[in-house]
Amino acid sequence: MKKRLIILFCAVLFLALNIFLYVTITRRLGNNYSGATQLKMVDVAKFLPFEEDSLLARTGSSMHFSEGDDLPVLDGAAALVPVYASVIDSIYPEGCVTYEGGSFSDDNKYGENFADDSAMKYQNTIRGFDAMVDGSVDLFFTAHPSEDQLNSAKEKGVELEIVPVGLEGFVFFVNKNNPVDGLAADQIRKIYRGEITNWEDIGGAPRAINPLTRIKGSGSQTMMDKFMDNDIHPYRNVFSIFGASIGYSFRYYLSGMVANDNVKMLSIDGVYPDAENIKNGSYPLTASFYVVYRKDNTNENVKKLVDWLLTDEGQQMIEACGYVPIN
Amino acid sequence: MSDKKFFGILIVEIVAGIAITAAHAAYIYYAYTNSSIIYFISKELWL
Repeated sequence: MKKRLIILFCAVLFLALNIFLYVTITRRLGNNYSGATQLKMVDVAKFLPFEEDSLLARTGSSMHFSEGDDLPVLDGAAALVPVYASVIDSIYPEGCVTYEGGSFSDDNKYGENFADDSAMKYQNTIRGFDAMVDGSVDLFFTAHPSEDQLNSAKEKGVELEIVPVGLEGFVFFVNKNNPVDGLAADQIRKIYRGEITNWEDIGGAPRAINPLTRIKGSGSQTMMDKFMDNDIHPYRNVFSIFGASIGYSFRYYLSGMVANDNVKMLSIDGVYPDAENIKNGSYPLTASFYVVYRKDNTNENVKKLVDWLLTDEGQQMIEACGYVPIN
Repeated sequence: MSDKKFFGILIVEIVAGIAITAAHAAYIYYAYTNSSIIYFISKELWL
């Protein structure tokens, strides 16, 4: 009887351990293929130009390209899909976007689903930027390119124009049940330098802090590196994964595109990252977003498009997309 | 149950348990470094 109990106990022990791992970690994973992207949560089909039900800003434009024009090919970061899709919808001729409806799979990790001759692409920050440098994309919508990306372009002998066209808030977020609603910028820096390791030390629950990071080269990680003055080394304790996490992203991506009700953005230095506080400059972590193109791009419509984005019409469209105009 | 049979079952059980747990941990390591941080935080347990 005792031997049977030992065998049973052993089985229950392994079962309990794996159930614990599943409940605390495994069930929270997935929903993505790559740390470089969060594309699986951005359904590009919802932002297709010329589709009646698309979630685009249709504020109108007095500038229009026609079928015979050399149409600039647009690509960008996931967070800026609504912006450049709205540009195409407002200015380009219908029929210039060919969406092939590819779905995410092991063979299509980035969800690439536009035809080669489509004026709209969707390759996200890392690969889309490279495509612009290599010349297969004309205009790239992004957060500020990282040092590595700029160096990579320089090594290829490519000079870039980087034009700010809108403002966006860089935000930190936690689970909605985390009692902490705001942090000072210095507290966040201390968290990501391993100097604060428990929420209790900053007015929260007695749980370890699990500071999450993004992959190098992504827009939000580039912004984070800048915020941290490239001095980022969060405390890594294997058990902190069971603690309460903090992460970062861009405001509209988090609150508008992904719109996950189970996370909340934190106020920084007492200021909440809403559009008004970003616009009036009171939110401290405001960053521009940009269009980037090769200086030697001979397509005259590229410059026309950039100029249009800075007009009242263009800025109105950016605001209608959920972002903050720069002018 | 004889001692021989008992230890035989126990060893097989422990080896299988460790193998399954190790595979689970390996999956966690892979998926953790490749998953969406928004989704991960949204599913956090708060009792």
